[in-house]
Amino acid sequence: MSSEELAPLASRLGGTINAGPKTTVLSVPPDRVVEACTGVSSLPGWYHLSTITGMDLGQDIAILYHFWQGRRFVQVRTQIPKSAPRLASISGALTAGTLYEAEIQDLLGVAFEGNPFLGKKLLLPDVYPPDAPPPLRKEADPHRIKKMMELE
Amino acid sequence: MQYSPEGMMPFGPVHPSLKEPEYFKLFLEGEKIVAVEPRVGYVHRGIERAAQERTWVKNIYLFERICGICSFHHSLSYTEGVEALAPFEIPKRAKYLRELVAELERIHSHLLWLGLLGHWAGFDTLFMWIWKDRDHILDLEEAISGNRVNKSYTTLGASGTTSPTVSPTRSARKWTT
Repeated sequence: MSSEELAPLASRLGGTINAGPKTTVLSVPPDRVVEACTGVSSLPGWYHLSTITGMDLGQDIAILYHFWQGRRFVQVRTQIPKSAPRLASISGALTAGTLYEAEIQDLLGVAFEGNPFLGKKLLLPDVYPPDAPPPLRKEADPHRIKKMMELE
Repeated sequence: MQYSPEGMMPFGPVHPSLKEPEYFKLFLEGEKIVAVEPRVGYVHRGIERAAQERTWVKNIYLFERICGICSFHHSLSYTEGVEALAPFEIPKRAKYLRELVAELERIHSHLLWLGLLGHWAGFDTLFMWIWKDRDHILDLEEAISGNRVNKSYTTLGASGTTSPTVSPTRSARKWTT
C-alpha cells in the first residue's frame, strides 16, 4: 500500500505515516486504535490481520497490529504508558484479534477492555505468581520468577 | 465471558485426539456446547524472552529450533531482520546460497505435508512414496550444509560456506532413478 492511500485515514485519526520498503507504519494515539484497525481492514485487499505484537520500550509499551495483503505489510502502531496499561479491544470489530490480545495480556500485562479474555489467562500457567511482573516486561527476571514458583 | 450454564466438561490437556496439550472448558446446556474457554501454553518455550537474554549470534541457532520442519526459514527471517537494522549489504553469493537452501526446504516441507495427508487419509503407501522422494531433498540439504534438519546455513551478513561432502548431482541422479 502506498502512503497516499493511508493518508486520509491518518489525517482523520491524527496519526502519522512512516513508509519503509516492505512495511508502512501508521502511528495513531491509543484512543483511535479501533478506528485505525477497522479503517485499514476495510480497504480493498487488507482484510487479513496477521498478528498483534507488543514491545516493552522501558517507560511505554508499544502495541503493533500487523495487516498483510500478500505483498506488503501495514502496521498500526500505538504507544501506551506502562503505568496505565489499558487499551480498547478490537475483538468486537475484528474477531481475529481476540487471541492475539489475550496473548499480549498474558505476556505484557496490557488489559484490552472488551476482550472476552479480560482478566483470564490463555498462555500463562495457573501457578504463575500474581505479584510477579508479566514475563515479557523488561523488569521480569526469569530466575527470580522461577524461585517464586519454587522451580529453582 | 460469564456463563451460568447447566454444566461444565473439561477436555484435555492430555487427550488422544490432541497432538499437543490444550485444555478446553466446555460449557453445556443439556447436550449442547454453548461456550468454550481455551487454555494453551503447556509446551510454551518462551523463545521470545530467551532471545532477549542471548547475543545476536546465539539467537540464530535459537530461532533455528523454533520448528523442526522449517528450521532454516526461522533463522533466515531473523538474520534478514537484523540485516535490515544494520547498514550493510550482504554479498550476492550469500543471497543465492540462501535462496537455494530456502527453496530446498520449501520443497521438502510441501512433500512432508503431502505425505502426511496420505497418512491421515489412511493411504500409507502414498505417505511412503512421497517421503522416499522427500529424503532425496534432505540428502541434498546434507550435501550442501552438512546437516539434514538444523542446517545452520545462515549467519549475519553471509551464508554458510561448508563445501559439499557429497556431490549434489549424484544425489539428484538417485532421485531420478
